[in-house]
Amino acid sequence: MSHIATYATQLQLNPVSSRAEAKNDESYQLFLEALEVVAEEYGGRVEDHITDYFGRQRRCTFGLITPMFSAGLGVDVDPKTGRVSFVFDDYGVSQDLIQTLQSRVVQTFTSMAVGRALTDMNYDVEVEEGSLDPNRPANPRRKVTVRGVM
Amino acid sequence: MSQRVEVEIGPDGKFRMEFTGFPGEECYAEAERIRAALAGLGIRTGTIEMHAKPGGLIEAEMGIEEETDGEISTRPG
Repeated sequence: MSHIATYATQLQLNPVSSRAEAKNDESYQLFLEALEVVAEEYGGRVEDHITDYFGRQRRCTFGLITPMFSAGLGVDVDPKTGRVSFVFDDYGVSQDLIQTLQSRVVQTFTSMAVGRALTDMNYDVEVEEGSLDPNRPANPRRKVTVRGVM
Repeated sequence: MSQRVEVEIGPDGKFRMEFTGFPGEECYAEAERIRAALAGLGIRTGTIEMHAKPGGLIEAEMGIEEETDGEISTRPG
């Protein structure tokens, strides 16, 4: 038989007891890779902090800094539970931009995790990206398709 | 026939998995293996919807032709 299923997702990295352990953990490594992909896409970089409106630094697990959002989109990961939360100072910044960046992080990480899972299960994997709206190919809201064949 | 999994991931991280070419109930076990692998990589999943593909679609995917009743037409000579 074959079937179709739809799933909701929640980002929850593996619990860790130290920064060193986090650096070697596969879920942290993959999340960092996903952030780097999004950073490259938006001409930005990944740091360990963001800044607020007044320029004060706030440390976080990861900080995605882009030219369009130079204060940065921060990601806090609770080391005990692995729960992921986004932190940012949105003063003077478009909510659409923040939402788009956040979505790209979640979608990119999920896509990379699916690709990794299928590869580890010996599938041949290919990835395709497309706009959710065919009339607006540059629409930042995208659909990513990961195909695995065995 | 090859076994295929197609996963569509939306902007909110919600995703849809379609399984093709798995014998019997194996696709359900495969879905659970993928979900377990994703959990280890930092993605927890909750099922929103799940349904088996209609029989006709599965047969079409597997290239099974409609069965005939085996009758042979004859003409009087």
